[in-house]
Amino acid sequence: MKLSYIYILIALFSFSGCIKQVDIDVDPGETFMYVDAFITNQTSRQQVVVNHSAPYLGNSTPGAVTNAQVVLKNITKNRSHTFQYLNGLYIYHPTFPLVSVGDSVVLEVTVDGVLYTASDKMNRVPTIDSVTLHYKAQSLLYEEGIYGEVHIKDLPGATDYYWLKTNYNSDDPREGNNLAIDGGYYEDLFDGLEFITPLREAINEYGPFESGGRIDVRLRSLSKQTYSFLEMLFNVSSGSGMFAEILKNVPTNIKTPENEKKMLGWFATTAERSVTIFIP
Amino acid sequence: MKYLGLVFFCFLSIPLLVNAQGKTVVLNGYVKDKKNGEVLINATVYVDNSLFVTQTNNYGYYSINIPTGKHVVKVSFTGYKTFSKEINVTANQSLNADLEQLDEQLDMVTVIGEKRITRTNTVALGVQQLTSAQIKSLPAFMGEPDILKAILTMPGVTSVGEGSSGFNVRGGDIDANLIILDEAPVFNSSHLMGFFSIFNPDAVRNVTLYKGAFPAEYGGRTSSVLDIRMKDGNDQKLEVNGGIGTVFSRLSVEGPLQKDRSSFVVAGRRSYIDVLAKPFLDKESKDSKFYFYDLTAKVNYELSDKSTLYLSGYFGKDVFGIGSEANFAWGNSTGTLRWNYLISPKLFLNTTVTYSDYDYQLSFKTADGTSEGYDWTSNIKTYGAKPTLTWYANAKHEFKAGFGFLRYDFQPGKGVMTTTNSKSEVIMHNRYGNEISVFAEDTWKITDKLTAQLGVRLNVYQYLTKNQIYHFRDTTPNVRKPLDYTEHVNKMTKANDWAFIEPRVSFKYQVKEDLILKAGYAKSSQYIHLLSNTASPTPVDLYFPSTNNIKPSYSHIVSAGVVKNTAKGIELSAEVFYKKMEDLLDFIDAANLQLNEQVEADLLTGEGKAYGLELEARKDRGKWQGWLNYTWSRSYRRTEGISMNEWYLSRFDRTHVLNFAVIRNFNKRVSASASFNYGTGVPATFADAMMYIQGIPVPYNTTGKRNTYRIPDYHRLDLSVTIKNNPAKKLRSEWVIGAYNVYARKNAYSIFFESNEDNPNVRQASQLSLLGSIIPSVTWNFKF
Repeated sequence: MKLSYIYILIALFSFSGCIKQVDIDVDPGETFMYVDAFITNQTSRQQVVVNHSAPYLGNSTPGAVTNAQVVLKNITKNRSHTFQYLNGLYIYHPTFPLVSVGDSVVLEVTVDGVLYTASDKMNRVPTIDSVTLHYKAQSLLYEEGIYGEVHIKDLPGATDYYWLKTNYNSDDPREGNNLAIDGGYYEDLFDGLEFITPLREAINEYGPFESGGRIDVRLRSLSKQTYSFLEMLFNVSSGSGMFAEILKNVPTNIKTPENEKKMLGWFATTAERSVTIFIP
Repeated sequence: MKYLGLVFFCFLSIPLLVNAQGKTVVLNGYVKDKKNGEVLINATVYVDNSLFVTQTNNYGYYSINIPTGKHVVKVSFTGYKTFSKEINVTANQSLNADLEQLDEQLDMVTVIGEKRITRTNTVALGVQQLTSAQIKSLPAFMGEPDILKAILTMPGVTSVGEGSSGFNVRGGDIDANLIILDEAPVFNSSHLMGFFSIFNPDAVRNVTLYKGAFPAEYGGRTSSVLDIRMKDGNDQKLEVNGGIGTVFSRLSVEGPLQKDRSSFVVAGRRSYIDVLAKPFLDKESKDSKFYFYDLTAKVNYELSDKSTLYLSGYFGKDVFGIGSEANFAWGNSTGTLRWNYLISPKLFLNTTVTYSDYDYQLSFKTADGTSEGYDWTSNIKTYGAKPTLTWYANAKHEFKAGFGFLRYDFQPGKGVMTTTNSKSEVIMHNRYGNEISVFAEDTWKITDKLTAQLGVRLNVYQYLTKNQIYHFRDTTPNVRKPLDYTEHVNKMTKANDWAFIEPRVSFKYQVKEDLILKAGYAKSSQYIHLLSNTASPTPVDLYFPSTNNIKPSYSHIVSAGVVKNTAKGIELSAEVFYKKMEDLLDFIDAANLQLNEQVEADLLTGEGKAYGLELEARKDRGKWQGWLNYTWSRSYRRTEGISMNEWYLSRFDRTHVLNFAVIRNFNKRVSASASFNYGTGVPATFADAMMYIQGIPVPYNTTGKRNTYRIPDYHRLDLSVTIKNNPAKKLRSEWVIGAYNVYARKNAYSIFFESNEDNPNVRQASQLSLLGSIIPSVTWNFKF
């Protein structure tokens, strides 16, 4: 994802080619269990997914593992929270943030007596200063219309990893996902400065915005490991194009006891800031 | 360095092994085209009906040992009248031969001074050559003759897909091909990603691909050598060649600087899609840039009868951009200075000094073009010198020996980010390498039927740095290696070195006049690596040297073959090969290959093997010309931590490949050609399961094995017709009308997995085809 804009640029000017759906014969792989848990510092509902995988092709949906016990342990604050199963999810309705910046947290998932664990530490996140809207004329890069620019200042003093997530109107399934390091793309490059231009305009992935529309911009802090995981995930899940990376399996940070069937997926804690903008 | 002395000792000892051959004298000279003074490479010089035979070298020079007395000397070359002269030699004698072209049947686009090296007149196996005339006769993409596309019709040469950059030879990676333009290394041979090669056919005289037991003078790569030699230029009269095509135009000018002594050639090309598109672009897009160009130039000067100087260079660039907001450019430049010196009729010295640079730049800026932005640059430079001495010792021995030095200077990446109130840089520090080589080779006519080419090359490679030396700890394969410690140095320091002794041995046995058996073995090592984990290499992929953490890779190639010439002028050949490759690079799954100062931590080393059978029938003369070849081959890799540690098919394994090309000359003005290519689909890894992570469907392969599926087979038919004007006219011209991908096949470039656009809950496999229709073209070529 870090350099995906390079490939976008290359693709923009290379032969556009054609893409068509094809029927291929792939044997469905052996089913495995996976966890999808991104716990935030918000007081909104927190959820953990424990599912069985599904065949990739087609429309089958991963089914929930219904008999798991899911416990979130905040090691720093010495607290434990048990998630309850409801409609395919393990959920928790907090009255205060389960995790705060700096907290070390362990997720424990027990299925059929086997304990699977994962850990993470919540990193800091800056505020989103503003989202400004601009009119852009028609060009090779942009259709004519209204576009946004997000203004964020990186926090000084350490290397920070961020996930800039943009959702459009509530009925629009499309989602913009961009990753950043210290407001740029590389470690040790600069610190404590405003996010650079390609990131500022990253919220326009599905622009231009229509009048009356809504944009939700969320900035999430990540650990370095989660940053690497998401970078790979975004690459493999958008694997089209002449310069697409070859399909590789994303890693997992879920620890499976020896001799047990491996559980996959990812657990992360993320501090979050968000802004909602309505297009006039 | 102790090995260097050993090799020199061996070479210097050779004369002791050579017996005197009786009272013989030396006949030597140059063979040239009488009309334009271009030297003729691989022309055959034979004395007294093939009792004594030799061939001219890359500079048109020959030297042959014959007894004193009366002889008939003949020089022959395809498309030329045979030169014949009776001489009475009593002492060493020079005889230059200026050959006349047979007639004007060869059109004006034919680059003369070339002759295909037939399999019967080389000792080594796996040598392929296409004449420029053949390259230009083949149907071409967008009507533009292309050297690399033509090479792809040769057995054992493939690519991962249409428009991909580079080529794969006998199961090797694309970075395992040494591509040299007048001996200067070229790192990216493609324009427009991979649709066109950077070599202007109007400026090229000779193209030779060594894919097996390559000669001892070449080294530094493990798969093949593509040796491209530029034209010298007409030393008799001024000549202008050009062409106006669908994508770009070509113009070359050549002529004498001093008749018979000095000549020049300058050739340029530029694409003009951007120029043609400009009137149709709106105001905001008018400053868009998308073009490529190249300029090739060469000059030579005959200092004396014994000494000639050549200076040649290439400069090319691809540029894409939108105003000042986004710009992307890459290009090669090379320079070569060569000096031929005839020490004696038996001793021919060539000294070459080369320079090459491949660089790319990428920049993004805010619309105002000044205040904020991001710039990224990278380059690789080489500086080389290589004196080579050829000694035509006697009728049985021809020795070649030399020394090579090549200095690499890698700037793996520099990124500069500018904001309104700051400027920051991330700089990967330069890495350096020295490649020092000594080589010696004897072409030994053991008996009338058996000839051997016995060579050895010693390569010493040093990895140098003047900044940090990283030391990593070993860890679980396919996991980023943890940094153990960093050694800081502040002057140029050798961090590591390696030495490889590389035998290069070939045998040719003439069973009958028209039946030849061959066998050969070669070892070769490689010190630079292309870091690319995408479906096709990109222009921004990084070349990185072998370091204290990355071992050089090396290969052993064994091959054997048989060649049969039929009475109808058809050459039939069969070759088998087995190649074993060691210390090949691979990457951890989560590799970060761009602007990563510690990229070595993300690299893995593995092994590879490839084997196959190549069959070919070809006819190079007459009204009907062409070739049909079939290759069956396999290419595997094995790397700890990848694909369950088992052997897996490499990305460029095409099991069955069939190429067919036919050229029909109807008369002096009209010719037509057709070309058909078929190849098994390349291996791919498909997703057999998925999980939703944060609402994103993530494809997953539960077998953990790589490349167990294949994308659909590739095939394509191209046609072209060439119509020339009256050859008697001063301005000679021709129209080339072509059709590429005649039956509009949508050949798969890749298969990938995505959510259905209309219904994101449905996941599907999608096929990317870079070309999906027939591509017609018209090109007008001229010459005066």
